[in-house]
Amino acid sequence: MRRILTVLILLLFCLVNVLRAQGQEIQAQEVQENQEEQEEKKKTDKKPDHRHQMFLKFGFVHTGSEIESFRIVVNGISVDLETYFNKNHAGFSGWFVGYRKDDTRFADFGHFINFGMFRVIGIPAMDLKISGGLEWGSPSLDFSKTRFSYRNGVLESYENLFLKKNFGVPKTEPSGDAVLYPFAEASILKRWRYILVETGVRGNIQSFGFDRYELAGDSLEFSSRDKTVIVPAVFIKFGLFFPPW
Amino acid sequence: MKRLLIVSILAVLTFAIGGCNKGKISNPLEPSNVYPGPSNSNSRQDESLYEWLPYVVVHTPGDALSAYQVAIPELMATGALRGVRVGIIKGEGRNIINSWLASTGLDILWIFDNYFLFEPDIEAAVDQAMALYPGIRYLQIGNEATTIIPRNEPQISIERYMDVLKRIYNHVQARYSNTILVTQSTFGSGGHGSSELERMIELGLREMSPSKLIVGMNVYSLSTANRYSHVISGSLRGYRVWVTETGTTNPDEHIRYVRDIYPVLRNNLRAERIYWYCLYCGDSGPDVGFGLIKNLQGQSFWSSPLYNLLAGRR
Repeated sequence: MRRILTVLILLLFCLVNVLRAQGQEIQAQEVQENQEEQEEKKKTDKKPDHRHQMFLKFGFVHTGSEIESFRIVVNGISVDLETYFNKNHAGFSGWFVGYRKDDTRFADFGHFINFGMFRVIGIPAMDLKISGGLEWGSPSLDFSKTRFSYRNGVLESYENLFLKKNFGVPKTEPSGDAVLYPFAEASILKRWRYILVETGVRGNIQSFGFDRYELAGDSLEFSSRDKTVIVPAVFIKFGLFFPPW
Repeated sequence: MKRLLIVSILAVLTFAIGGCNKGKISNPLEPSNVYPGPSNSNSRQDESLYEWLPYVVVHTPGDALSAYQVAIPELMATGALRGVRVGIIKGEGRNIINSWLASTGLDILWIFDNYFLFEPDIEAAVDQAMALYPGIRYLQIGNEATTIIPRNEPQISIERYMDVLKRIYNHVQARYSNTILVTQSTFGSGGHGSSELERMIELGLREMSPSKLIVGMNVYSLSTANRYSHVISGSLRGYRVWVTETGTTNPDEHIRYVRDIYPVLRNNLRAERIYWYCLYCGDSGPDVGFGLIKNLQGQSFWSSPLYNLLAGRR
């Protein structure tokens, strides 16, 4: 009986030791894993915050709207330089500067430059991008329209819609020959390592003047009002990693 | 699967960018809609010219009378001519062509010659012009006054011009209240005209009533029209605008010019009237090509494609 008891105690002792050794081994392993994880995390965290990816984008922009029954259609091309941060800064995923040429038939007007910030939100298979910024430039002639009304060949009245100029182009005359306005964009984009495709919609927040002239012979009655509207545009852009080397 | 999804979404959005305008699919590369309405039809043949406005500048050399007596009634008969712009030349007295034009029933914009503007008694000069051609309804005070006078002659500054304009305005309001004044037509090329118009505003143009003063301007390019549009949509809201000269020197381009440029001037400058420069611009010199007619021989003359279209000549 004593022998049996002694053997059992020895076996129990051995079992406890084995289990304790295994527990220590597991603990050590866990500590090591934790350490490795932490080191990995540190490495990840140390990934340079200010590294970025840059794309040079080329695109087509189609602006179309109907304001006071006047149809406004403007087509243009654009070039943008866009930077994606490695991680968000102050809620932004990147910034861009761009140039747009409206109505490519005319060189003297329809030039815009813009800049802004954006936030990218991951969705399955691609990204959703929300942007906002300011645009400044000399608009094309397409934003002004006049509708004349005649009766028996005599001019009775006319209505004039035009984009209000609220800014100037330095060193040019006349003054007040440019516009500055905010805009917002929503787009989806697919970004690979070297190329990017993006398409979306934009809303330009622009101020228009709408004037009415009524003629009775040569007596003139004039009424005017201003309105701020969101002029929608759609765009598609193709980007190349920049610089390519 | 992911790729298929991306391609599908991009394809749909690309189509959307192409645009679907009331059932008509438009191409993003097609020209912008600068020219609205009927003028945007490229396929239309030359049988009509909806964009034309029936006003023409008429020079008044006496030997042109016989040709004018054929051309002007011909244009009036088709409705292509309702008004002309002619000069009252200082020292000339009553011009034979002006007198004839006044008898035709045409709506006449009379230009008070630049050389009158140097008169110390400008009010008396206006009275003389009114006496020469009674019943003047539209009187334009000068034309490109600061730029057109030959360099070897006395020049008028825009400051002095505005002083004269204000005096004439006050005199006309007092004595000829049915007469509407038109400002000098500012220069038609480059940016000088729009800058000068802006200066005229600084010098008190808006002190004169928009019911009694029409803003005149000459416009020979879209760039110039664009610059003018900044001024008239800014400080000159509420004022009527007449484009008192426009045109091109190549007769083969006259029709295209009317189709393409007139709508832009109408839309951007809210131009009530556009005067074609000109019916007859002489038989030599840089302006010949502007003319709707030339090589006058009595009642016969060469006519441009635009004239033929307007007069219904085929």
